[in-house]
Amino acid sequence: MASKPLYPTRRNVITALGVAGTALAVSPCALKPWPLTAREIEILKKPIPSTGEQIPIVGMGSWITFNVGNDIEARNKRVRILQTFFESGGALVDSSPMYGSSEDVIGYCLKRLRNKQGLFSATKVWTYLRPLGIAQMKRSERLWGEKPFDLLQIHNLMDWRTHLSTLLDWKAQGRVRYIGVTTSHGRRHSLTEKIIQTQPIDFVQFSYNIRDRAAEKRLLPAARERGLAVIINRPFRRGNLFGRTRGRPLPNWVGEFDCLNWAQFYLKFIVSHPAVTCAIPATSRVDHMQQNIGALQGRLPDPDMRKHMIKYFENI
Amino acid sequence: MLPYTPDIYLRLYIPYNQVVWPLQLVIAAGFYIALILSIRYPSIGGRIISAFLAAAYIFVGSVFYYSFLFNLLWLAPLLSYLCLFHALILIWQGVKRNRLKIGIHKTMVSASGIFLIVLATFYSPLIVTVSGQNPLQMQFAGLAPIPTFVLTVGLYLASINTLPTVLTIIPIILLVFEAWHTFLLNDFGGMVLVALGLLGICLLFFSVCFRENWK
Repeated sequence: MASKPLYPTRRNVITALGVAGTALAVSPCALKPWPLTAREIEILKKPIPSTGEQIPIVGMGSWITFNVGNDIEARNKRVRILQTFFESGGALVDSSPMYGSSEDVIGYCLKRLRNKQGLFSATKVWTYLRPLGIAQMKRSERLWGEKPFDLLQIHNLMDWRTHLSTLLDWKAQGRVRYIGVTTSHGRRHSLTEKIIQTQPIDFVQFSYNIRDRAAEKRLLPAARERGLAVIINRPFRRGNLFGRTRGRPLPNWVGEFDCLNWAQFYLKFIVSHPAVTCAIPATSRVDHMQQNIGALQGRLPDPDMRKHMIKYFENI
Repeated sequence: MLPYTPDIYLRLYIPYNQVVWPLQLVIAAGFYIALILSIRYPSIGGRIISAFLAAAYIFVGSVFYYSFLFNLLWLAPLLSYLCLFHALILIWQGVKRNRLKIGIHKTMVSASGIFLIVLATFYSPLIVTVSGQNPLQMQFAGLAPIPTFVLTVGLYLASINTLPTVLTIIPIILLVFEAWHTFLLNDFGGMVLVALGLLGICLLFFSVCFRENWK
């Protein structure tokens, strides 16, 4: 009786390759490395009401953290931060001409990143007078290397009537996709509310976090009613919130909304508000970026849980 | 401690100078014309200089502090109100009551006043030029806070009459604030100018207390 050969025959190899190829075609994830990248994990997104376009609910701010001037080491560290951000599914990057060298540094980083397809570029105009505003926005385009911007906002409502007219023209010409206004630190809520109610904008940006909840009274309901996307700045109150919970373990019940750290606790509180589209924490550390961007995954707290979170936070 | 870096603060002057251009030239020329007029015609000169200073405080308060610095610092509106209040005092004491008469005397106090006036107007342009910074970051007397406050002290020192104390209170508060601010920003150039302004204030009080000995 002839024994079977110990090595595979050509037929065996061709058959095996065929089976493997079929298996790969059927299951594209079969050979993907672990952990899965952002594209495979379900990223939490919310729609921009004016178009229905979906954006991830955690973006990135750049106040102070990207103002590193010409320090190459610091700039390259920001490249790694942005790389982590995009690899984890982040999209919206927000800056302003007011943030020192931040726009220049973002442009430096974007030039060095291979994977930035998801980028949703957002910056601001921050000056007076129409010609100066236009010159500033053109300068931002040059610094970022992005044209057109996805979102241009009027920073702190500075000369807002003048710039809104320019932005509407630019939007009509396709030079920007969305337009908006910003404020921060709980200032000028009345004027912001008036603009939300009366002006044809797509986005509004203001401060809101588990401690500063004044926006819940008028701004968030007004934005929701008018169908505006809402970006939240100062989600950690410039790091101040962490001081309150430093050294304190997370309560067990945070597992109910897949929260792994305090950063995600604060971020998920914000983005679970039905009127909020996106929160934009800023950081100069890769590990902090990983913590922040982790809030893009898992469940969000429901209204009862949000009340519980507030009560817990206030009793710390 | 401050919610911004020195770089961000100094860059604030770029849009500010762009927005107010060419007021820098108008104010510099206007000030020196007013100064010459006030020395040649002391009867009305004090009123002209007081009106100029009051306008400068209104501008610094309402445009620089309220419209620009407010974006960075929550304290800015308070500084703005102080400037506006001082403008009212200048109008009341200087324009209406003519209590700020400028003249040149051969005294150490008067010479210090002239020195501070010249320093306030040329210090920042000189520093920015020498250090190779962006020219738009220059801080001009009459438009930017520190040179305006130092200019005020210089004019007070060059005053030929005894100043009412009420004219000195707010400039002192503002200079002390700027001393703290420049210290936190590690802005050495600003610190030097503020320190000279505060020394001028000390000299002013000494000159009032020991007028005969100083002249």
